[in-house]
Amino acid sequence: MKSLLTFVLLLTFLLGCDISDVNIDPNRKSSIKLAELLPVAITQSAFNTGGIMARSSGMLMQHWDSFDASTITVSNYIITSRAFDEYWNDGAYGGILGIANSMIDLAKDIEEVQYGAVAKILAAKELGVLTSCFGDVPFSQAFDINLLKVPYDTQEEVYQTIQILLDEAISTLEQSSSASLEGDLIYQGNLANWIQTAHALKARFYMHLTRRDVNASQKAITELELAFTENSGQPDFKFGTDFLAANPLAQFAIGRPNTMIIHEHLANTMAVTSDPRITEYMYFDGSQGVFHQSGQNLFWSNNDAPMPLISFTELKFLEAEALLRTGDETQAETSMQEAVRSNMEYLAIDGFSTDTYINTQVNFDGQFTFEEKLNKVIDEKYISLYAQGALEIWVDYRRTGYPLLIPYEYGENELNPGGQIPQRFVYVQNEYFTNELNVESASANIGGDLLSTKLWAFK
Amino acid sequence: MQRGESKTVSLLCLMLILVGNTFSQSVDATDSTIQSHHLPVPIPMSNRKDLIGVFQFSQETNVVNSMQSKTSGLLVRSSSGSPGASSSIRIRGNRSVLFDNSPLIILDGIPIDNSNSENSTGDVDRSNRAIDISQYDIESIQVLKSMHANVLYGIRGANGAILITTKKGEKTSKMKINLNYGISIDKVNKLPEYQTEYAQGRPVSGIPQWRGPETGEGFSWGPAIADLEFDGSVYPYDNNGRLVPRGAGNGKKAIGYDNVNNLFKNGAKHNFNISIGGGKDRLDYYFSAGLLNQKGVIPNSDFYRKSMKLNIGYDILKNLNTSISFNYINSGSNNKTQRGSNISGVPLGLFRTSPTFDNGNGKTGSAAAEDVDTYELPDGSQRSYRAGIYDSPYWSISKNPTNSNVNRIISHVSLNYDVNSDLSLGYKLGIDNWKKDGLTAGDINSANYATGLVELNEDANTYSSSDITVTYTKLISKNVDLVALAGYNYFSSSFSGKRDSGTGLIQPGVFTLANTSQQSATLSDVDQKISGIYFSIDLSYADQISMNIRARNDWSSVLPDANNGSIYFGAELIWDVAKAFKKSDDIGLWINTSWGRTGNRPGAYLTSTYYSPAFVGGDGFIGGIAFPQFGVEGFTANSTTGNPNLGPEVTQGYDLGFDFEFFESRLGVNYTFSNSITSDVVLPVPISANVGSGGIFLNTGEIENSGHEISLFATPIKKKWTWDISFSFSKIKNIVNSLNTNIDRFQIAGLSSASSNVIVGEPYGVLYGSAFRRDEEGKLVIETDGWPQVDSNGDKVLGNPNPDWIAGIQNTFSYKGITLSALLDIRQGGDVWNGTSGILNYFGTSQLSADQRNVTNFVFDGVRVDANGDPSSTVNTMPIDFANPTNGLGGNKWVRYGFGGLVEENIQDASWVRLRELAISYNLPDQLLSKIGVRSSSVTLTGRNLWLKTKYSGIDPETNLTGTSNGFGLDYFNSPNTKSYGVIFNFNL
Repeated sequence: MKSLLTFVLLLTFLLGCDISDVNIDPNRKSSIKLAELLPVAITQSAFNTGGIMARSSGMLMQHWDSFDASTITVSNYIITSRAFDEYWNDGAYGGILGIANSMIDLAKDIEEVQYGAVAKILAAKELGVLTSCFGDVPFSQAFDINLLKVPYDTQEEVYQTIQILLDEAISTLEQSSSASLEGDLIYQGNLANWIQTAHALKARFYMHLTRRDVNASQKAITELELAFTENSGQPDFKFGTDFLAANPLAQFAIGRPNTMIIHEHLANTMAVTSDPRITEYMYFDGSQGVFHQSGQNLFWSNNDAPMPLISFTELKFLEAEALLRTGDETQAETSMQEAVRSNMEYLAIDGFSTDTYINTQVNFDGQFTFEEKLNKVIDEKYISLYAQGALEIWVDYRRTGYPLLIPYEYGENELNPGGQIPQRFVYVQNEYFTNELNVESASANIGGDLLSTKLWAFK
Repeated sequence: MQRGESKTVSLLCLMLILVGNTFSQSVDATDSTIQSHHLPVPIPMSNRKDLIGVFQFSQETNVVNSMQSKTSGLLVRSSSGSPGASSSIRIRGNRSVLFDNSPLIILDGIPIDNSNSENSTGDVDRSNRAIDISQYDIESIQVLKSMHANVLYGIRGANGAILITTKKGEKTSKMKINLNYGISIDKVNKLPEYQTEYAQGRPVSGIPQWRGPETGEGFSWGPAIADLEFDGSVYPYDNNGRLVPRGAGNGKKAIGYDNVNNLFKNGAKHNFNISIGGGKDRLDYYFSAGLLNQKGVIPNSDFYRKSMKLNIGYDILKNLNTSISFNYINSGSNNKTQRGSNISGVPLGLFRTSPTFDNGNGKTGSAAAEDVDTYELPDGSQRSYRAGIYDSPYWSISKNPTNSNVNRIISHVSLNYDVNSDLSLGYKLGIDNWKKDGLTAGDINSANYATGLVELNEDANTYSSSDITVTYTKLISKNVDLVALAGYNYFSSSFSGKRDSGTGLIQPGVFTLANTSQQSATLSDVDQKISGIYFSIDLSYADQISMNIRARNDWSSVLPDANNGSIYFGAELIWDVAKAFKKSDDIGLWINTSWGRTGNRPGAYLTSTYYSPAFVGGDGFIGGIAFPQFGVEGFTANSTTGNPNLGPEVTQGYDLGFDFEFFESRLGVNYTFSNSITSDVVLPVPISANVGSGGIFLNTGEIENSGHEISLFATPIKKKWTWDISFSFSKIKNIVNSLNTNIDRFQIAGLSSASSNVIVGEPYGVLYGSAFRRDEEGKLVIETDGWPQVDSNGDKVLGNPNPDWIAGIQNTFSYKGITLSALLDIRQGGDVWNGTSGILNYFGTSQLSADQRNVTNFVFDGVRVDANGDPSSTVNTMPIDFANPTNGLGGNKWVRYGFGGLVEENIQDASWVRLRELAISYNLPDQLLSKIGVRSSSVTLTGRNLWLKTKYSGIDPETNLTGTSNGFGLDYFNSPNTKSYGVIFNFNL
């Protein structure tokens, strides 16, 4: 009898022993390695670079025009708070910034700090997009599950944060230059290249603040000396030939046919100057220029078109502008020419056409004042950064007034009083839904959540 | 026996689970101790209202359906009439948004699985697993409704419990054999009205024109069929040729085919059961075997169940008893029918079919399904009314097979040891294990799976539970009785699911993975454990007042360590007022009240964040890039963050009630008021993306249920013939008190157009969707062109799917050997979105669209819009034509508001009165039978669902698109319900 009881008791306690470790899903990972996050972070960064923010700024900058459907609201400046929810939630905060934050948290081990450094570079780049598009944005208090309503940082703070992140990345990478970096889809683990990229980005974001920082150009020049010095050194992300791994512009062209076309302004500008890149950029289907056409091998809309996170061409233009601003106009002209040449080389334009274009078009021959020369530099940059840097052109437009563009005729609406080309995008709907007080106070701080509100950096 | 005696018995053996017809047979006190080795839940004092006992005449395959309208506070909702379809049970409302609202099912003291996890808006009707229980083996069912009654189930108790007791042998009886055979014919009981007057087509340049299947035309807004004739040409879609205006063809009149009637056939059900039971000395035994075979009203659809059950009791010693139970079930379907929001769905393809196209190509029912020429053209493409845009119903039946086969074992062993006359120890171990293999497939050229699909499922689930109990019974003084119980319970559930899918069939019609060009596999394993300690103490004074206190502390694996160890408790007080005032035995009055706190478990794995293969996106207009990609693996955190502080959902509630009995218990009335508030309801709360995540699971909502329940039992006549009435009435109000400041609305189930939701201040599950614009007085706002405007403020709450009240009335008349029994089921209120109706009006295949398409100069009742676009006070006078062909398709009343119209147009009152069960039974005279060795025998004619009265315009409104899911009130091409006529033969040897 006793033995039976003992047996029963034992059986029950054996069955009922430990419950604390049961609640772990065996089919999903509950921890993650840095080498599994890095390729995602890099891909997300490249995807964002060619995604909806790039298309939208490209339409505002009249690289592209709307033809149908969703794009019409962008080129007509009816850009509401619903336009960029996906980008904000999944591309930026839930995407690259969230991933970078996890990587920075994970990369505490001395053997792995380089992952955190690369994450900081990618985060800094995206923060630059966010603040230049929206103004004040959350960051310093973000990514804390114990703080569900995240306050916004001012744009000034965000630009400081960007430089700090890049400085920290450089310093870490310099100290761990021989460490390995698995899953690096851009530089295959070469840390020196990442250091150069960080310097390149520092130069870009210094130049964003030419209206705010009198030393911006000088700082940029210093950084550019430490950045990469040829096309082959730039951080190119290579998309796949398969549609499911394709460049976002190709995905948009194929997935949303006939919604976006080449803007007449770009087509006309390039036609007037006999720009040899026109056949790489666009195809005339009889009635309009299109940016993608099956069989036409247009450079930026092929499935496997590369996407530089920042290009050597852009650096040369930054250099040209910085030199111009610091008084070295001759060298500025040379830099501008090198910029265009590097772009033509990148697009594999033949040498003769390149020389012809540079010799006839890319100089300050007709420009006498600083403003005229600046206009010229930005005009050339406008053509060269087509499809790879429209976001930067929009920044240039807002801080320099160039390129000169004629706004859409009926662009005035409740969100865009005055009807000019928008100065920013309005905050996303999800923020109003889940973080209302903070987004409202940020709106008040920047002077109203409108498309027409001029941001601190560009005032 | 009188009520008072019954009460004494109950008090003496509060741990007893009902065995046999407790309220009609006396239970011996010593016997009850022997049978106390079930899960210890006391019998409520007045238990009749909580019992469901009548099963012998039920023709339901699913035991859940047999519980309908038989007790108060219980709402059963059958999802469809297809064989093996699921039915849900709710006891006194809904309490959870993400997790279970279904009660626990306790079979002979052990919990068994009743899940129905796979039912989606498309696919097929899946079963809830209680369908495996053969009703033949059931002795009785008790429903535990109050929070107090469920305290001992702790963190699983909030949704109530259904206690099923199966048949056992009697130790004192010699061997008894029972043979039972039932056969029934099933027919569709209600269908939407459809037209056979107008042809496939649409207005072209203002004139209705026939457009055949090859055009892909979906509409039946073509010419009147009477104005068309065949041309005799060779035409793959009709042997008579194409349709041309009358006079332009060969004179053979065009035909309006009755596709709907042609498809549905008579279903049939055979149910054969045999049992042997008895006992001797220390042994009792019961053995049964059953075989059920059901063919549905849609060709090829079926359900089967084979079961074997063995119950053995044995007294090892005088004070040591054991019982062993073993139940094996094999159930499933050889073919299930695609339905719902699914372009391979049979109801979808069928009801949308234009009357000028003959789905069956001259054949009907099974014959049409078996003939490949009805649904396939020689080139392998589909012969269907839209040339393959939707599957021909016969194609779907024949070429999109879905099957599933379940093997299940439910078994328990228990021991009871009486240490002395006061103290006893009990132990029980129970196992419920099932394994299911299934196939879902689609052939090449199926609408849903152009390249074909093979999906093999292998699911398995195991529940195991064990209880150790100590019971102490003592007469403390002359007037004070004590029963105390303490126990330890351990429960674990382990689910493993494996899904192997292949796409791109190489050979058509061969549904193996090897025959596919691309394969993928997913695994899902869910393990959960609960360990709990509990006690219950009953005290009674002078057989007048009894009270109970009880508590359970649970540790559940789904909760984080820090939050674990949640305590549930309750108390109950019952007062026999009549006894206190020494009234005569003719009148009885009891007052009772109870309060309890119970819990509901969150799902597994919500306390931490997981990582899945990454998807890079965030564009909104293009897809994105999925990992692995570019030759590397990539992972990211799942978008909804786990909550390391997650807690259980907690329900606290009370009951207040009284029981009256008159005329020597020939009339009894019970009234109960109940109220419960569930707090800490878990929701995925969207948070600012800047937190680095899309949302987090939080204990944040509050849901309230309150109810009035009335049960009435009467025996108005008790002479040579008797008349028994049993009546139940429930009015349950179920309100969402709060959600979270970040959540306006949470969709529980449904489609993007119409759905069932939780919204603050609204009843649970409200229907939500697009609506007409209305002015402040609720009048339609009419555009200057005479048409009502759509509300541009977006979707809104349009209906409440919860019935206002439900009632069941059972009348039983007996005279000598003849018994007539009828169960009337009344459901008042409760809306259903008739999505089917909206679509059939849109396509022009509904009878309404035929009757009203020629309506002209109709003036909508409403106010006109003014120059600023605001509602004015001017009454609309602008006439419109409903479907004037000169206005084109887009000007048509049923097309102009988009696909299926506005959701508001299709919210319908689903109130009903139905004759749920009808049975006439005749017991053959014993003297006649005894000569051939038969003790007794009966023949019963039965009917199920024979009469239905409802204003609902679609199929039988007892339906739900998403099965037993938390959301309900949705009908979108659901499979129709059925009625049955049958006969049951019963022999006792």
